[in-house]
Amino acid sequence: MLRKKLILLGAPAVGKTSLIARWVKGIFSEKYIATIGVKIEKKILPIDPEALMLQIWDLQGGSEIKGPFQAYIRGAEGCLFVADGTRPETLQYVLRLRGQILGELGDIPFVLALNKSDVAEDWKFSSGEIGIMEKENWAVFKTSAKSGDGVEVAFLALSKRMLQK
Amino acid sequence: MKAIKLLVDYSIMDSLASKPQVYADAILPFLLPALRLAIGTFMSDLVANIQQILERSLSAESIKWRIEALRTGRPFSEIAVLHSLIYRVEQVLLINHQSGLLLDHVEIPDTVIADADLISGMLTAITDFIQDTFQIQNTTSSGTMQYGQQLIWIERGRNVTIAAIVRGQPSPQLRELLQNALKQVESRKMPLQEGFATEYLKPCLAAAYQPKEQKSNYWRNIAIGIVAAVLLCPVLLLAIHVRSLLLLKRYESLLKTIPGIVVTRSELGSGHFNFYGFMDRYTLDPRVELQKADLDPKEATLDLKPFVSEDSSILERRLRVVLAVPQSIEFHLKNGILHLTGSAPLSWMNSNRDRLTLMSGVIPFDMSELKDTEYLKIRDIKEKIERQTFPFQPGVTMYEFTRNLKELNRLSKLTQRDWTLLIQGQRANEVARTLEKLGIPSRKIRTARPGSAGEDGRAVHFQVTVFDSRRKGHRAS
Repeated sequence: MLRKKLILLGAPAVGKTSLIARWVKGIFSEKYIATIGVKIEKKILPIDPEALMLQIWDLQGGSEIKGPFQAYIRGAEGCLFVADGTRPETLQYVLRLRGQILGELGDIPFVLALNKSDVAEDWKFSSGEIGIMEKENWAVFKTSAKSGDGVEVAFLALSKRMLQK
Repeated sequence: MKAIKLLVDYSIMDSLASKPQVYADAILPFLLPALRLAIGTFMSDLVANIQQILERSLSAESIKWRIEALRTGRPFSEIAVLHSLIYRVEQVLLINHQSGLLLDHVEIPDTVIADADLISGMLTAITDFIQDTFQIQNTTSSGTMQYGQQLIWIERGRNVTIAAIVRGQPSPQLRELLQNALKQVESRKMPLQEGFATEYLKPCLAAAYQPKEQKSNYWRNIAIGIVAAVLLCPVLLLAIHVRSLLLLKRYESLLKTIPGIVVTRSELGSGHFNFYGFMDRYTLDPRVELQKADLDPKEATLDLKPFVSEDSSILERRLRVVLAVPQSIEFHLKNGILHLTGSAPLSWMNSNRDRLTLMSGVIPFDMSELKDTEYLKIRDIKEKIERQTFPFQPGVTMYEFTRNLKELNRLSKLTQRDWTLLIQGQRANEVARTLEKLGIPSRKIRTARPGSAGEDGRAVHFQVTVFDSRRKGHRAS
């Protein structure tokens, strides 16, 4: 079995833990509990010819990549950035993080999950902005941890990229 | 050479197929002792296991462990092993401390094992956090984490970390084992295939058990005896209680069958039975009745308050005692009416009619079938007299029939001869009275019966003699 480390990064309360809970355990809770430090989950994907075990590190939102967080991201072979579609500043945070990750880990596979698509009417992004990001080699997925829409697709896309690397 | 080998092989196979008995006879002398040894070993192991199971299942310790197994939901065997452990390494993980990914791991079977991938990640995160927070620079070090009974020993190398998850308190030798394994893993090039380090990690799955205490059978038997007594005591007490309840029920049932006794409550006292209720004073003695039923009256304490029972048998007894009812009267309770049959003096009937009404309470009574005793007697005497022949002559004398029952009764018993005597005697007396009326003094008249010669039942003779004082010896009859 192949073992790879995947990290989730993003601003606080964008839904990183909820996305993992939805994908790994198939559950969702409206209750918000902030992640302190790091939480680790795992997911095994039965991929031919060898199964892939993803060790998923759910990092505390809004953390700077320094101190222990620098150690936490070490060895990661994939990164899922998460932004809240209703808060444009969370996307700005992701863009800044992207630069730091490039510096720390090099050009590892990554995708962007624009979360909370269940309240798309409240989104502050225009489809034009998303189009521009995609042109800059961003793989953008509209996800909803609440409804489950796009979650599997986003994680699988990232896993595929990690395997191809 | 190959040709010869082939030939020999075929020859043996052919010979084996045609005459297997020859080969069997040849190898049997070697095979039998081996078989005997194997069976003997198996049997002794089996006996030892059974003995161990018996010892474990009967000790107080094992009962405690079974309760713990029930409480925690873990198998009894696991609890028993855990309690006899000094320490046991349950899992050994080889972790890439760069990424926190698990490289390899080994674990003991049949135990509760945590997810090795998650442990490796979290251990790395914690170690990274500690190293960063406390500014620990050296990359190779030993560490220990403990939470409750769970202990993790960590050996950190240049690139990998070995973590041993231990239950109990390990000996320092375990540290040496971990360091050896780490050295061996790091001394070789890191291969990618899974299970590459298993052979180095397996020796770290060490365990040490407490030496078994050699207890003498005497104390073990005493302990078993005490446990058995403690377990049997409630059963025995329960049995005694049930027996007492059954006996109490028997007493109560018997008391309830005695007319004139009402049991309202019964209870078990200390060593005897208490009964509460009511008892009519004319009822049978309950203690005698209990004795008749082979029950010990001394075991029963009767607290029975007096009351008036309307039971027919009690009513009859009460009436007989209070009203002095003659034995010639019988009582029958029929359709709720107390019938008095037989006979009684009219005077008794008249004097007790009201008292009977009072005493019979709510039960109506009927005396219509009760006969007057005196009337019956008179009727009887009358019939006897009427059967009698009275040999007296009309005009000579008159027998005064009297209503005097005594006299009538006496007369009714007279025989024919008695009657004749009576009447002839009266006739003689009448003659004597007539003579007196004629002026003869009574002292000169004597009435006598001369003798019974010539008399029969129907003829009796009386003689009336008048003495003349002037002429001595003169007499007239």
